[in-house]
Amino acid sequence: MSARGRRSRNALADITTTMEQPDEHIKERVEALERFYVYREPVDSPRQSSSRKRHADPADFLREDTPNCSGDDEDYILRPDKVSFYRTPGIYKFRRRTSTEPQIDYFAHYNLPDDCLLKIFSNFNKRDLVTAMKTCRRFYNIGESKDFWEAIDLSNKTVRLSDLLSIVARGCKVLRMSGTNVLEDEFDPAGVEKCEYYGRPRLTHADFSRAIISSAALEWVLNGATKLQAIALENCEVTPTICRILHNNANLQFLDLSMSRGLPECDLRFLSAFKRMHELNLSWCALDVENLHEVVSNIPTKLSRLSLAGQKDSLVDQHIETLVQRCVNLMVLDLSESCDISREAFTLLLRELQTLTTLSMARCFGVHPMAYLNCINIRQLNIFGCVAEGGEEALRNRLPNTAINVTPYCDIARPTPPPSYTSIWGMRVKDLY
Amino acid sequence: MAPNFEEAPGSSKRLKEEILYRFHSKEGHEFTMEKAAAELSGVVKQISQDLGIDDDESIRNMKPIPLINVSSEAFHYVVKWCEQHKTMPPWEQDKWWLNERDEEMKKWENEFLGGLTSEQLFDAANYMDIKCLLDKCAETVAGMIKGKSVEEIREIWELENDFTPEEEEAMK
Repeated sequence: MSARGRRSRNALADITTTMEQPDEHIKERVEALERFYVYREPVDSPRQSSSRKRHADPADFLREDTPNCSGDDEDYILRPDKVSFYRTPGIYKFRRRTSTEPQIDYFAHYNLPDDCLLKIFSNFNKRDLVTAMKTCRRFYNIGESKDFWEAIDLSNKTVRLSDLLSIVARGCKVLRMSGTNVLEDEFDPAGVEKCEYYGRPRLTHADFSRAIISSAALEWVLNGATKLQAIALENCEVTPTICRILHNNANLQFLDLSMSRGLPECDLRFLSAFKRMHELNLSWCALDVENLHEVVSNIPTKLSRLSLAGQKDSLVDQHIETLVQRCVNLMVLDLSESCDISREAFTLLLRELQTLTTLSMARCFGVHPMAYLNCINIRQLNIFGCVAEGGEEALRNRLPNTAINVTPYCDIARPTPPPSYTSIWGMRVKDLY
Repeated sequence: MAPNFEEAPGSSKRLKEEILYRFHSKEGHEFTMEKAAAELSGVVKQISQDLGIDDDESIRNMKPIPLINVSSEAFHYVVKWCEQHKTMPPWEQDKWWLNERDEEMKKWENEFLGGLTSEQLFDAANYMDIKCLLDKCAETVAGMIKGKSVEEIREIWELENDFTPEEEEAMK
């Protein structure tokens, strides 16, 4: 017994000395294990043959993938060392949350009516709601109530497509998925059937910006949606099918398609359906001249904020002419990075759009810097890269009511513009705690 | 241990000058509650409206309201709660931010609900339609099972797992 104790204290030393040919790999492994495990005297008698009886001991697999380090067939079993295990900081980090409140037997042999349970459940966040739903059938049915699933925040998480579809089928209205990673390898068609069973999705606000989601999955999620009011597809892949789905949402007010891929291949006439649209962001979509022609001739006329930034050489004077004729109520306009706009088009823009308050023309090198002196009625002018520092100073002197080069970022149709942190288009998605 | 109902604030031997509603609990005990306190309960309001009772004299002469679903013990606590809250502004169901109480009241509420062992209070609040008590109870109960695992919740509420193993697997 004393011999065993001595050996366990010098676990590392023992192992290394018994090794005939010390191996770097084994050394590392033993060092890593040393903190949690100590060496023990072999329990079994030395290994008889390779076909010996298997143990249910968990240490078995440890022994098996450790190379046979000592020449003789010595068995050793590694066991956790209690003292060092419990003293290791951070070992409880991933343990379940526990409550310190005393456990009172409130509900023993006692049935609460459903509306009371609804009240209790309404105090839960999603995690506790799901836990409660898992307990029994009755709770599951209560927890499936549509009110609890109206607003869901999945931002920066990883979800499976089938889960996402069942969330949408539960009647989710406000869905925040910015930066969500959607896994598709376990795609379950049963979820889709469920979706159809529940009827059309009730989504009104959907934020898919920067989500890692394939266009097919996006089609599944949005399929049949007709009540959308706001949607962000920033950096997503857009297909003609998605455009057709969006076309059915006549109440759409905010549409963010910035940096989306696949838009040039779509029929852009779907934009004409949005009679009530306020904000539209089509920046950096790699549209060509014909696409842009389709865009401006079908653009919703009630727009108040529009971004057509990043069109490089595609946006030409003719587009500006059509634009100022169709959208007379524009208040905020972003035309940054459009090199082909001429001074004449710019003057026309200023003359026709009387309500314009914010104009971004960053890196529009086609416009002569002197033309900016006409922006008397504009409150905010962003012309990064267009004029030299001295010129900027001169502009500030000549235009006392205009703030020049204050906001380099544009928040047109964006779901979460700067002051808000978790809400999308002003709709709360965060849980109470 | 059941409290002494005769000595309690809701006892029937109260001064006759106050305007009091009278109640009969399930066990047949008689209780009284002040007008302002009793009117926190939606049911009491509804009953007096239906009977056309609005002046103080007719409230005094009114027969005791039978509450067949409320036990004496639960009602004892209901009276305590209502007497404490009778001066509070009306509870706003949707505008929760208007329901902020001062520190003293919060402390009292927490102590009151923390020391409770009667689950019937919840049902009583539901039956009598006392909004503030109901919401506070729901909050307290929710607080008890927040962050617990499925098995722990089953244990606390003595629930039976009636899911099939396949369903359980599907939920994970």
